[in-house]
Amino acid sequence: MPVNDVVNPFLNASLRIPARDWPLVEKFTTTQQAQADPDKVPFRRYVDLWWAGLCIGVREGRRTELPPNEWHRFNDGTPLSADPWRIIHLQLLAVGLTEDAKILDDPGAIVQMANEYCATGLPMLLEAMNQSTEPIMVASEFLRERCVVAVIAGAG
Amino acid sequence: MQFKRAHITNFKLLENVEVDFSVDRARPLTVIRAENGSGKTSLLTALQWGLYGEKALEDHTVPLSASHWPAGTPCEISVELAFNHTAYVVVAGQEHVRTREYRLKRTVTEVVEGGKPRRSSEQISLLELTDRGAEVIRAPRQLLEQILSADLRYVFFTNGDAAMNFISPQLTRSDKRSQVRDAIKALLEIGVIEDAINHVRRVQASKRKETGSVGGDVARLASQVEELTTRLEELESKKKEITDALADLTTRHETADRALQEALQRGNQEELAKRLANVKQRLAGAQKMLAELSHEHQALLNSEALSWSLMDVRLRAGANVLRGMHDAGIIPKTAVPVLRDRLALERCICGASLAHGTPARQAVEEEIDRQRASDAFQQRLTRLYHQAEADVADRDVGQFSWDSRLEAVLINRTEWEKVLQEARAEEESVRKQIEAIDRVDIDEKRRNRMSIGSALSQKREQLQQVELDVAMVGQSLAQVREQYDEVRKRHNKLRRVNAQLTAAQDVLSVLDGVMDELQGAYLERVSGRMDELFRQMIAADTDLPEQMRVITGASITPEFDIVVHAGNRTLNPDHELNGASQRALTFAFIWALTEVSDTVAPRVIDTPLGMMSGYVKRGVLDLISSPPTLSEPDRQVALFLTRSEIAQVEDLLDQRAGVVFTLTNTAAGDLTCRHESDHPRIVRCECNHRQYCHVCSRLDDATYGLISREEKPCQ
Repeated sequence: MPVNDVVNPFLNASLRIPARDWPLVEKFTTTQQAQADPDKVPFRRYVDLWWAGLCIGVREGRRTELPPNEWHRFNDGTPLSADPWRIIHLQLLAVGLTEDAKILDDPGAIVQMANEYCATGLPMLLEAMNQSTEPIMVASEFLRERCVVAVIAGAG
Repeated sequence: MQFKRAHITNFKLLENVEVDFSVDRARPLTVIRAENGSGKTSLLTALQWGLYGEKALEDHTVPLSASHWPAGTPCEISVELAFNHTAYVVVAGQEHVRTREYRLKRTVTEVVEGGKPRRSSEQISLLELTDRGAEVIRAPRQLLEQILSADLRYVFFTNGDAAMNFISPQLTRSDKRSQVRDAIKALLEIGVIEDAINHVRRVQASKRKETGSVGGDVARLASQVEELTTRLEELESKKKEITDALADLTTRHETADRALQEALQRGNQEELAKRLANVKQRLAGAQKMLAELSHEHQALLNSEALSWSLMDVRLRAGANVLRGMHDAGIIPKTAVPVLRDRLALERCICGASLAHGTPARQAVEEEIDRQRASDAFQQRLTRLYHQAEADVADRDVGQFSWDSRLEAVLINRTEWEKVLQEARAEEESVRKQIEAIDRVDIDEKRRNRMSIGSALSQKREQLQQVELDVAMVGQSLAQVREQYDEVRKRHNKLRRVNAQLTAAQDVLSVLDGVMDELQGAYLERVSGRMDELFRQMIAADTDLPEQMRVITGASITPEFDIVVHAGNRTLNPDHELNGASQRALTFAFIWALTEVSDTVAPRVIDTPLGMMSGYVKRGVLDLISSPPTLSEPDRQVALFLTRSEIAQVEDLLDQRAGVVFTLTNTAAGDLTCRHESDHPRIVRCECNHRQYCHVCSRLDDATYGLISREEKPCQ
């Protein structure tokens, strides 16, 4: 089935990141700096960095809960429609983690779960990038190390 | 980090001094010859102040301006630094090297009254020079900290006497131990946390000072905002003028370049012109390709392949749940048509009657309703199942292998970086060959191009200057606006600051424990390297007393004492080493610190060879000025040397120094020629370590065998 036919059930959900990470998310995404050098600004949109944080959080196997006032909502689920594979991955992830397809009936809960995984992974990635003059290289090695471990350990 | 040049204005007696540094890999040494009182210490401090500002100053109550500067009159002090930074990042086992060019300017205005300085807040502006022009760095302090941590400045900027604090007999054992411990601690780069605590304390203190003068503050700040906005507009307008002029000059330069190339093509230099055109094409091609690869690399970080690689097991688990549902016949739903058929037949598959009015018929009708209601959900599940099956199949045949794609991009990037470097080197070589052509018709066109090129360089310089000023004023404006906001939010913010302070203190106490562990590991590495270097330095010291010729090495004890070993004996370097060997030991320690820090930065040392002579002096200089081996990164060493330090090692400086010049205090008592100046200041001349001229000539020129650069130095 072509991914273009994917319906986005997350349109009304809130994509969030920890509020304290917001300045660095702006620094490492091109949304507010269109002409930025990709080597220094390795992510295009906020949702791209959010997704990378989510992947790392899932790889770490840890969710981070925060009080409501410590979250920053950066968008609703609309940007997910631009990459329909993300909608599929989010749903598969939710089913895989809960081992129950009923979770698909609650898109809000799925996105909240994703937000909490992201709250684990995002600060780790941001900190690594923020310590170097070559963020894209540091981010690549950071992610590569985790991919290698995922393959070796069969974890994820 | 490598310094390229520095321009210092009104810093002590450095009224207007340009300093350049050697960036020649084969001759990494810069020698700044200066006698006592000729600005060596000021220069050492100015370079650190340029990088780190106020926190680089030992004593904040000492003015930065010269003592002859009129009291009560504002003095603008500035340090401009041009430097590059090479980052070495290992990705997938491959080292990626990237050099970036920067230009930094720090200024402060100082007024001295009653001998006490009052300084405005420092303005700092940092530009990165790229192929696309100058880009303002938004967080200059953070970038400088990444490149060369302020904690490491004592290691990279030292003077011969202060370095002796590690083993000087004038200090108590506990003082020396803490010096050594602090130096090793600096390698752990805990400055970020200390800075955070200091920052919170500063904020807290400043908040307490704020009383009820909110209205006054608002008016003052509003006026400042207005002034700065006007200034910014003026600068932007000036920037536009320069940018226009630059565009015009660029066009003229291109025209002149084309004319020169045509002239070359007409003569027997056609081949060179072709090569130049060819190499330019390769350069442009490599730049374009690298830009594309950079975007491809970025796309990889945002790719489905990465998602699969990191979450493979979880995604497959989800797909398995759906597959289980499919295998169990839960999806897709096919029961409704079958049930409808059975109702029409009024008989169940099991044989029971489904006649109207029977409880069995009612149960089947209810089941059909229930299943219809869940149809939409079932359809979504079914669709997701099929998508998952297709994705898992793709993943199984390696379609989403992120690391192999990354490796391909990295290999491509490395190859194209190499092409770019080679093209740049060839371009320079061809240009040099063209410049060397001495023919009249070409000469004129070459002069024309050079003249426009020179104007172009000046304009670019002006543009950078204005951009620095724009950035600086922009930052001031932002700061003032921030202050304005802070005044209003004072009460709320104070509460938050207190919470931050508590948190920072908690973090620090945890880190103390971790740091003790780390210190041990670093101590071992520094001790080992110091031992090797020290043995190299003193290998040929025939001035050592008899019993010292059996030195077997040096080490740092777990209590942070530096000791020397001679056979089975442990010696106290304070009393059992001669002065020269003490200095050698100190340098071995400092050099070991710079190496263990894994930081590539200029090593700037004031008066390193004082008290040394003979083989130890040569041994120390030989070691600290040696060019890097093929596998080592670039290095840079700047030594501030007096004539007596230079004596007997001139030949080594001939070999190792890429840049040598002299600084002189115009008011020095032993100058041979008189300087026309109404106040003392430091001036630069191009004399190297074997020369003198009317600027630097001294009474003892002959003692050191110096030769004049001019026919009649004093006229």
